[in-house]
Amino acid sequence: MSAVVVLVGMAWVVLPAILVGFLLLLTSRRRTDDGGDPARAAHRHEALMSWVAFAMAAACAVALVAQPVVWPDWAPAPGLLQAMAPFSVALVFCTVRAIGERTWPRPAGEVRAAPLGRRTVRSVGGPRLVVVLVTAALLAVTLVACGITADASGRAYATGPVTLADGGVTTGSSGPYPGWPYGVPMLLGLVATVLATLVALRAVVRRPPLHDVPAPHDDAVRATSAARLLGAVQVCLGVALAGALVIAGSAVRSRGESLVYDGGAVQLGATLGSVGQAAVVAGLVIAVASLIAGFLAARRRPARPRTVVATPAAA
Amino acid sequence: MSDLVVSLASPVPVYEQIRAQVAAAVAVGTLRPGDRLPASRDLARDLGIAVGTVQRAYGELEAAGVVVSRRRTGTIVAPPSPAGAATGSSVTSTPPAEIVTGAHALVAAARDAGLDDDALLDVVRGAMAANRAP
Repeated sequence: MSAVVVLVGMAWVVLPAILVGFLLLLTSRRRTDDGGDPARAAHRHEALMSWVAFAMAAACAVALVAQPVVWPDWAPAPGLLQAMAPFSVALVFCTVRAIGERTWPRPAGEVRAAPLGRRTVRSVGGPRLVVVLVTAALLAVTLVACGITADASGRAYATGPVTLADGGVTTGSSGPYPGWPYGVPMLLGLVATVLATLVALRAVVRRPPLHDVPAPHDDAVRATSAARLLGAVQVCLGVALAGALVIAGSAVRSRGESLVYDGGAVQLGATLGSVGQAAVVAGLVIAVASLIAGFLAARRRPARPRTVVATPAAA
Repeated sequence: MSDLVVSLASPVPVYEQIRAQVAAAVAVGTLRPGDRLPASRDLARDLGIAVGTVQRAYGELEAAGVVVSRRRTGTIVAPPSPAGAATGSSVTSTPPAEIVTGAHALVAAARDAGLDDDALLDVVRGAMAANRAP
């Protein structure tokens, strides 16, 4: 029985890893203007690094998700390990990528080239970096909002005493809800993820130009590295944000429906129901959009021409 | 963004290659006033050379008024200024636009004619020698 569980768990890692490896191999295949053998080798190296990072991250995800939801003697809230999985996966991915950046060859040869302009985290990250940071900010706001609105246990959404039409008073709560027992560790995980992303992206930015690889193709390999890194982080943060929104939205909607069912505070109940439903829908949209963004980030970036200054000193 | 290319096998020192190429990029407008040059550490890492080599090139460019170094922004291309303004000389370090345009046209014509860089430089040096300023 345990062997079957292990095999199923391995399948969750191996099959996606094979799929992603195949996808990366397809995106690294020879093209008409591929910059020659050194550029092809660089793209293969980049694809290998991405594949290793993905496989390690997938293994981390399976290991965390497969853990028991309830740890009576340790975790402050059920499912905390699962809630932390997106951040752990992102941290593993960023760490493997940052280490992988050290495997690129150093400048060699008698003739060496470098861009005469500044490469910055912002310029290499581009719009994807902005989207990742916006997603991180939305997640932080969501977690803080949920922490503030949760009940004393931090695991449910409650409304105060509500007067019903017959003069009675009702109180109640709905859960699960991502209050502070989840929000604080997730906020710490979020900060660690953003820092790890910036460190890994900085490693991509500081990578020296590749020897014998034409400048446009060196830029393309660098852009591909940055896009894949940010794409993976976007998926992780998007899934975390979607999870928080869906769980919180479901609790709020459930509480609203209860109020309507009780026959009192129909207006409040309807409002809570609408807000909760909107949060659930927003979470699902963010999850799908993040997965699409992550999938698109796996593509190889095209080479774009760069101006070259030739002077007698280099001759 | 332009590329800087250095040859470690060249008899010209590497710092001089860097200085000459940055000055050339500024002269033809590839680098414009206010453009930020890479930090000396970053450029040294990209080229796989010592930081001091880049710092020496930047130092000479700063002394020539091609770039200025500021604490917050790093090394940036200096705004154009007549070199002779202070000394009263009629010679300027900033080439007029028509000279730059003419240089581009000359290089394009040489490429079309199949002339290599050394041959083109010989032509330019010869023309300069024939029209040497008094």
